[in-house]
Amino acid sequence: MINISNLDFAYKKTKLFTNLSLELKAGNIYGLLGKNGAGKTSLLKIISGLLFPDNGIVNVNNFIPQYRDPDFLQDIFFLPEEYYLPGLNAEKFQKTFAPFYSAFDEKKFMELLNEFKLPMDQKLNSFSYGQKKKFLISFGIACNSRIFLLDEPTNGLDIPSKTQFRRIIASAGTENRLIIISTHQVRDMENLIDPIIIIDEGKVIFNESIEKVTDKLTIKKVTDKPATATVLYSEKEIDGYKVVMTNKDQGQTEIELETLFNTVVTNPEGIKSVFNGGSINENK
Amino acid sequence: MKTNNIISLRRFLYLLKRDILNNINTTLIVFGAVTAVIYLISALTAYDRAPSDYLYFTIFTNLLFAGGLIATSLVFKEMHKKETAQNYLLLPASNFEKFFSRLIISTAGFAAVTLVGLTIISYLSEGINTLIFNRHNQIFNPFTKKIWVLMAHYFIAQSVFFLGAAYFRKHNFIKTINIIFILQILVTTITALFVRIVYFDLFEGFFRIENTSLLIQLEKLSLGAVSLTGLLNTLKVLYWIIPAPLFWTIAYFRIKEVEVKNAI
Repeated sequence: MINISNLDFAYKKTKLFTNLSLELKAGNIYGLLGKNGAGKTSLLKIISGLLFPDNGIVNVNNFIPQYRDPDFLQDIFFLPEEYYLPGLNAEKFQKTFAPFYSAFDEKKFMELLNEFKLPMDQKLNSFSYGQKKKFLISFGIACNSRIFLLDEPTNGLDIPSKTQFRRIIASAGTENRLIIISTHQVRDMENLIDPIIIIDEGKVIFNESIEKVTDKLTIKKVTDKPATATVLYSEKEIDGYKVVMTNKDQGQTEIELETLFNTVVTNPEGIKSVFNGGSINENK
Repeated sequence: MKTNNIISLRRFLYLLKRDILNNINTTLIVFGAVTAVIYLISALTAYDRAPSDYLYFTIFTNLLFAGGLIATSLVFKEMHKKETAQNYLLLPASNFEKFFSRLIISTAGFAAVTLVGLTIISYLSEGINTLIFNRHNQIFNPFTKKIWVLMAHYFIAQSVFFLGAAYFRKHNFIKTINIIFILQILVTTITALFVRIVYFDLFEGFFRIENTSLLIQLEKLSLGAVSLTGLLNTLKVLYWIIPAPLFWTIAYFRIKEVEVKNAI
């Protein structure tokens, strides 16, 4: 569905991506993680045709995004972190914008607005940040685009809305649809995003399913500081240490996304070795 | 590439409607203010002992050129502003439709609204003036050759500002004016030097032409087989047919290559 190969991209003289390749398939809710400035938002913008690659090929649903063909644009919905909504109410917004999306589902849109308890008659530009976000999530899902890109979708949402968001996105994730969620709020995304993509220093350093992660890695709590040669990552906690190690006994333990992210970013070579069939000890 | 991805009438009409409604509040406020100013001018002129025969033609010229060119300069504001650029660029319509919709609004759309609006305003204003002062200015007549020639000139001037609107991100009007000014100085300098060098025998001083008037001297000039009159006629034809399509086409290609990193 999305094929990126050998992508180079720079902002003036600041290189962001060098030779980045990525293949994303329908039927998944991808979590796109990375440090600040790693290029998560830029990658989403390249996929949606808002930024153009300097080199390499980006193919989305057999379209070249930078041409911004209408058939391509109506099959992709991008919810950015910062957005603008005009001074229209929900009904007028729908009348103005929905005709551009041939698969728009008005019934679904109304259902979602009701679920988020958004007023129909209030002007959208007078909504709070969180309400605006909920409105656009509702509109985006109702557009029935096969690709749904969300940049920091839970920022500004209150706790009940985050729960609603997870439920709505989980139910929107059909086998024909590809959802990419770029986020720092990894705790909000537990049990929602799978596979996990981590980008760092212009490259994809991790792209694995949760199942594979729990197969390959295990997380343990120990009281004494572990020997660094046997662990991929450790962090101090109040009552000891949290340790990420290679899973050798084939049992599966749940891995928190935050811990996984820290492990991958601090020890990319160790992780690479584990996921390419070796083990951390062989790598050392 | 499917034809549908370049132009679809249904989609274009939705886009046109959206683009018009997008700025309807500002447009109505400006329209109201302009109407009030026009009536004030018309009343003051009618109050005078000798009401004007050319009042509305002068107003039309100013509205078309000052108003139209400023409005044209703002026509792609949505595409350049950081907050709105993303929505605009991701709206499922083709680059051509986005270009053409704004072109129609700022050319035929603006001219038609000005023409019809001023005609109605002139009838209403002069009706009121007749009731109050028992005399009136001449009603605006849109069906004269002068008006239509003026509109043709407007379309040519508009094309330059349309390109400026697509090209520059901020202060489009001022920047376009500056570019025109700089180009004018360049063209004038090059032309003067060209004439001074090629027709050096006609000059007495550095730039003073001997004897009779400049026009008489110019009539003697020729460029090989082409007479100056023929050249001027050719330039006139080129003026009518080249600049507008050229600048609109360049503007279209500019719109195609806009990225959000260009938005500020």
